[in-house]
Amino acid sequence: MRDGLVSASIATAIMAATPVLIAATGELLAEIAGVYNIGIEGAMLIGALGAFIGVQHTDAVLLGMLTGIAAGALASFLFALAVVVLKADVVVGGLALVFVALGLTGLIGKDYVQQPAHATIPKWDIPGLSDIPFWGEAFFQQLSISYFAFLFPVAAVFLLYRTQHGLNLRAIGEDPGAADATGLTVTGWRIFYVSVGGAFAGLAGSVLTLGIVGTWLPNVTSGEGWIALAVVIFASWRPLPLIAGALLFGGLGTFGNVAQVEGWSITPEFFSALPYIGTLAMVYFLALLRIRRGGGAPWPAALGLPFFRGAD
Amino acid sequence: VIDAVRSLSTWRIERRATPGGSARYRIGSIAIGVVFSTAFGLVVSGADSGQFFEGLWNSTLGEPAGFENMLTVAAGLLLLGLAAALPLKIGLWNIGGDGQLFLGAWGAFAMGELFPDMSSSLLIPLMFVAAAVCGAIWTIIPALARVYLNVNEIISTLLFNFIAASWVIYWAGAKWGEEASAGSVKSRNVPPQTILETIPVGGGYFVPIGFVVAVVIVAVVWLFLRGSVFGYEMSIIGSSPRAATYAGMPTKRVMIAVFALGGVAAGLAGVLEMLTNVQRYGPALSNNTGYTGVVVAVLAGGFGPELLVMAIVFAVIAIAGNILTITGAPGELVFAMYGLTLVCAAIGQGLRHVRLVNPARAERDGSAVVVPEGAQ
Repeated sequence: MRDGLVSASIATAIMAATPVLIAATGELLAEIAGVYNIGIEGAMLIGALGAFIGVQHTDAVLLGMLTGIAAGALASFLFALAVVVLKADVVVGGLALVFVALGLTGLIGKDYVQQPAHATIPKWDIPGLSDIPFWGEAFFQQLSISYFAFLFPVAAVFLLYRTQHGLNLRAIGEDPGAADATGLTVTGWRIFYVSVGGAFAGLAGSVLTLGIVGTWLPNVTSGEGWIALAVVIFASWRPLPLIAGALLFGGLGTFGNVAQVEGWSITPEFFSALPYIGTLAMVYFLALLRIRRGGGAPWPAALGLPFFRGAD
Repeated sequence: VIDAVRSLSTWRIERRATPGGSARYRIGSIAIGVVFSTAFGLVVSGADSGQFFEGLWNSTLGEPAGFENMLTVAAGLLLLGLAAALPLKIGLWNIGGDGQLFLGAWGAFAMGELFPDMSSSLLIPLMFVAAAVCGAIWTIIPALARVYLNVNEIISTLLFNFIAASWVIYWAGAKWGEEASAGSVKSRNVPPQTILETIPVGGGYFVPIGFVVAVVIVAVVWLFLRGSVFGYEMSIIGSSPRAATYAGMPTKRVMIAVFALGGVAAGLAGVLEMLTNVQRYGPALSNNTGYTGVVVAVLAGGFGPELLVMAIVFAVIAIAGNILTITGAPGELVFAMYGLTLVCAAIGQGLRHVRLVNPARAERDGSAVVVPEGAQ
């Protein structure tokens, strides 16, 4: 294969991995707190439209992204109220969020479909590095947000494993009863971190509309929120492997283009399914390895269980 | 106002020892949800309410064509509801109804391609068997991964939908596509002798055979599970998997079998939709019907008559959404209506487990005060 094609594919893979990685980082934080937000796809969709509308009305990309973040956080906050406070079933609540998001964004976004964005997330060429042949094009001419996105899991490692705050957060997901006994308000923490997860999803959505697609399309996320959930499983609820999971999904997505350029006689539908097949296959493979090693469940012990104060 | 807020702030949410009246909360919250989502749809689409209700009447009971269409939509939702309701009974989620539907219809269409001249009395049953088998096969990997690898079945079944979506496009386009197919990807027609007819029921009204078949399937499954060891094992596994394992029940095999049965139901929904309505193979066979089936299953809370009721309710909501799109609302509106109904139902379900208690009053009366949450 030609070098140009390889470096361009790497660059595309990193770009495609960016929203998935951001959403997965947010989802990981929510799940560490013990709440399984199946509705991340919905929060991402709402964030994507929120960001686009923000940009069309302010012409400022940062304001647009902030709108997207706020919209995603608000959507997840409402989900958290239903699930954490009103004890709605997490799966039902999450599906409801996806349905409502699909419907509302279709409705509100009707007038914005296919409009060109008034401002888009800029690409940053890293001075010096971006001029290196091959490596520069592959790694150092990315969307500005991508450089930050790959630092989010690193920051999450620091937060979760190096701070008192992170210890508290993990305690809430592992044993909310004990956390409550030490004086932590489990409900408050969970609502906060589900909202934070939604903020990440909103940012991920705004990367899609303002960075990658450049316009609003109905259901623009097309399952990337679900992929973020799969990436969290892939990563066994640890922050750094999220990067590998997101890159796997993004990387597999580039093969369709490669096949076209190289003239491989494989149907394009195979390549559109490939990211999903590959991600699932890796999730299964890693789960198999874990079972073989006799490892226990990698997720937080209280994940998905409602917390009732004084119940046990 | 501040005093009122302050007095409210002494209220606390407490867990009920046993969940409150199940049917009351379920029916109440769903009714609130249906009314709320319909009102929402009317307001946001800006449709004239008189015209809307007239249209809704004509498209459901008022005119034969509407009646037939309603039952066709309900048939799909009924089977996809069953596809989700069966695993739900043992605490598992099948969100992959869409993919299983597409694979079921694929198997059926393949039979039509292989034996285009076979008589309908042989070909139609053959197509049904193929649909059932293919739908079940599509659930096998997620089910095995759940049972043996402990991989969450929600994600597995969901991602299989995306794989199935590519599968449909490939077969309906590249393999079985029409020479000059404009617009969306669709295959050539199914053999004409396999189109399912309708049954006259008087007054100029007709019931599609597909609907009758769907109801019979659900009734057979329901009656079978009520009176069989398998059904008993399912109910024990559903209430306590650990107890079931200690009692020596083949928990893993039951889980896989239930998933496969769900796939059978979804696959049959695919062939029914193809032979009743669309008459071709392609993405048009489902408008996210698999996901809606999950909603139907959740709201029904079982797989007997309540499933039929919810399927018809959701068929009516789907039709209401369609009517609103005629006045300019986007097609996605109906998902917001489903979602809002689901939100109401989910909150209603959750509220069964809790009650509002005012400690000050409870102290005075010597007992906790139960406030009917339906009032919110």
